[in-house]
Amino acid sequence: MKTIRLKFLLVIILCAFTMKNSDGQTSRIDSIRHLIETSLPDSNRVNLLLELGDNYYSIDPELFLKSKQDALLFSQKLNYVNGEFRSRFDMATYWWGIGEYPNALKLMLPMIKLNEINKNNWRSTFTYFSLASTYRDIGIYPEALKYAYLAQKYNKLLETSDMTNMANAVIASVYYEMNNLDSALLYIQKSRSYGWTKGSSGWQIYTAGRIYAKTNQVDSAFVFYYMAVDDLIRGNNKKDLANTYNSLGSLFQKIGNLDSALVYIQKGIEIAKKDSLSKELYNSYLILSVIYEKRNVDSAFYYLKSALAAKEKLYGQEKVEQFVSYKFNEELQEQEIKATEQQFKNRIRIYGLLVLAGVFLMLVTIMIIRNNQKGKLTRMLQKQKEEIQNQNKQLNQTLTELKSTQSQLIQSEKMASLGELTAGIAHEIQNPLNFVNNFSEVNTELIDEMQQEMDKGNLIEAKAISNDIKENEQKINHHGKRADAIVKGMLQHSRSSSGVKELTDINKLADEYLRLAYHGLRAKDKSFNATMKTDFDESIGKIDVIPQDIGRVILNLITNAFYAVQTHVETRHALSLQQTTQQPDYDPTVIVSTKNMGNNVIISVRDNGPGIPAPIRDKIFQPFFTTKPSGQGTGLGLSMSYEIVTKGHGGELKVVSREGEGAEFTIILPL
Amino acid sequence: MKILVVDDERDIQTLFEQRFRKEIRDKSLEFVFAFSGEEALTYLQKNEHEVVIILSDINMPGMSGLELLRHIKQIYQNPPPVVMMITAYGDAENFDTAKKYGADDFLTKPVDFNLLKEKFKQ
Repeated sequence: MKTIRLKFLLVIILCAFTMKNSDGQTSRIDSIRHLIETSLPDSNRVNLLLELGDNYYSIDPELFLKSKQDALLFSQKLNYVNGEFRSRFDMATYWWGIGEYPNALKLMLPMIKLNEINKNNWRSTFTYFSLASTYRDIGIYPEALKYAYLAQKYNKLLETSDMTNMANAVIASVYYEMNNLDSALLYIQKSRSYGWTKGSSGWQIYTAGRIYAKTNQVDSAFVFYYMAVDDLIRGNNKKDLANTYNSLGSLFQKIGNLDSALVYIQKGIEIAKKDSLSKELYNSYLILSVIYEKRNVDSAFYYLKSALAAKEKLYGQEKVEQFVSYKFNEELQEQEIKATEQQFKNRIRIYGLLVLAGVFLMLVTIMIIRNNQKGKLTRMLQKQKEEIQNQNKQLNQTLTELKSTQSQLIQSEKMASLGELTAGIAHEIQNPLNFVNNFSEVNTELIDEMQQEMDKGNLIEAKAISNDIKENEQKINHHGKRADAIVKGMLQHSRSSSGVKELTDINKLADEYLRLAYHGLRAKDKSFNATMKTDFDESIGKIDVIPQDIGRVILNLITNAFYAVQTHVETRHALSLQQTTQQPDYDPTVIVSTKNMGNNVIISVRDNGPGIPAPIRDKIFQPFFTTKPSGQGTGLGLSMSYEIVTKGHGGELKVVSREGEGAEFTIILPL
Repeated sequence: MKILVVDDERDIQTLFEQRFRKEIRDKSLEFVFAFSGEEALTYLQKNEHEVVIILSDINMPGMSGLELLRHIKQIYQNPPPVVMMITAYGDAENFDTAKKYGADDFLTKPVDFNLLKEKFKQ
């Protein structure tokens, strides 16, 4: 029985934030509450309260905490140490899990004294586990290490291998944070030698991965991370899963695979946000800001700010004061206070020495400056010159790198929009093929029939049939050409632009891309639907443009428009679920129109989506700016379009938008 | 036997009329055409009990063939018309959705008319 309880606790403390399944818990909650009402005010009631709390864990944190708090108060009244320990430990684990370390400490520090009075090895083990993990995550490593070794000491007395591997892994994790990697490696290997159980060792495997990553053994690190992901999903351990995704992202970033890095960080953020894991979220944002440092300074700055906000939540000034005050208020360990005082005195002594040294240095510097002012000035100028030269060299290098990255990104934008097209093309080609195949088969039959009629001498009937054949031939020809045009369009799109202007039917081009964009989206999302309207000015005729380039611009604007109306449908749907009020009917519509203005031609793409908010309206043409979720847009579509229209064709690309009413993009091409 | 063909491609009418010209001539089959899902539903409302088989394309602007299928199977249950779906994508997802909505058959473009004739006979 005890072992089972221990294992249960183990799963939680495995630095773990395990969400339990909430199915069928409500009925269990009701029956426990009933039992509590009828129970005597003894240790049994405490246990029931604790169980009630466990059941609330994944449903309602407030009720979880309240039940555990009630259990704590009752236990204290009854002098029921086990109950007190369990309530404190469960609450501390919760607070620790979401990064509220002061609360965790406040709950666990009093247990040290309590354990000394009522000796119990497993209570001590878990108390020290909890304190070690908390101090480690605050960043007070000597304290963390002290408790980790204490945990190991009591742990050995329990004589279960599960627990020993845990204790060793906790020690390894502290050494890891202290950058003492040799020791970290030693202890994690010790932990592994006890054997890791599937489904509950994800955290240990993850720790191993981190140590290997830090010692630059990238291959081993990847292996352990992937193993950890598997195990953590199996054990439903969200906190460490978020951590592992972050570490995978960081590792991919290190080896220069930024796309994979982004994918994993996104996964990490998703979990951290969902389960309000501040520390994990902070890490995700931090890694993101590093990734974007080289790609987009604005995004990098944005993520850095997000990271700082998350960090403020974790280690804000207020919190630091809390750490300190809890520690002292508890008046637990006078020795510790003394030691701290001693440390403080030492520190003051060191500071004093430092200040003295500083003053001395300053004096020396002033003297040197006085003596060597001239010489120094020359040397300084020389140094500055060298620095500037160096910087220039670096800038040039960066510029070359940027140029090559840019061309790669443009290629990837092309490939992405090609991918969108492919599904549309498949559909568009099957339709004409259907007609070509079937009309030609019909014609074979009709020719047989015609011959029969001719044999019979029925020339009038034969002539009628021949007319049908002729009509069908025309249809075959028409649909054959249609397929041909589609394939040519696809090839043109994927080819690098020829850069040569050709006389192009702009209406036909717009119509083709409208259909392709529509079918492309439909192929990806079956539920997608929108009304397409066209209003073409036939007086335009053919105009001189680079067809694949202008086609790409039109495709881009249309795809954006469809995306806008689609998201509008989704948000409206989400709103209607929240509110009871009926929303007016919405018909997602995209209108493509052309107009001949005499000395120029206007192509307009209008949607009735959510519109573009004013603050970002002048950013949308910037490279890499995207409102799509990460990974879904390259952020290059509009900036490329802008380049094509303005630089390639001497035209203008404008946007008019009103929030809530939609947006209209217009391409103005001079004739 | 009356068959309603739904497709946004206008030439589909000529194609069906030609390929089934014998059946149309000896009046064993009769075809009507709708060029959108909405048009098909309007037709069905007016002529509910005449149509025995519905052949519908899936990818159409406006109401898709799958939505049309869902509507038909919800509204007309007594007796339910036979609905066959025709699509250019022979992918599993379309197929599964069509089956889920109660499609009686699933054909891919280009349409094999000999096979279709066999199916009508059944």
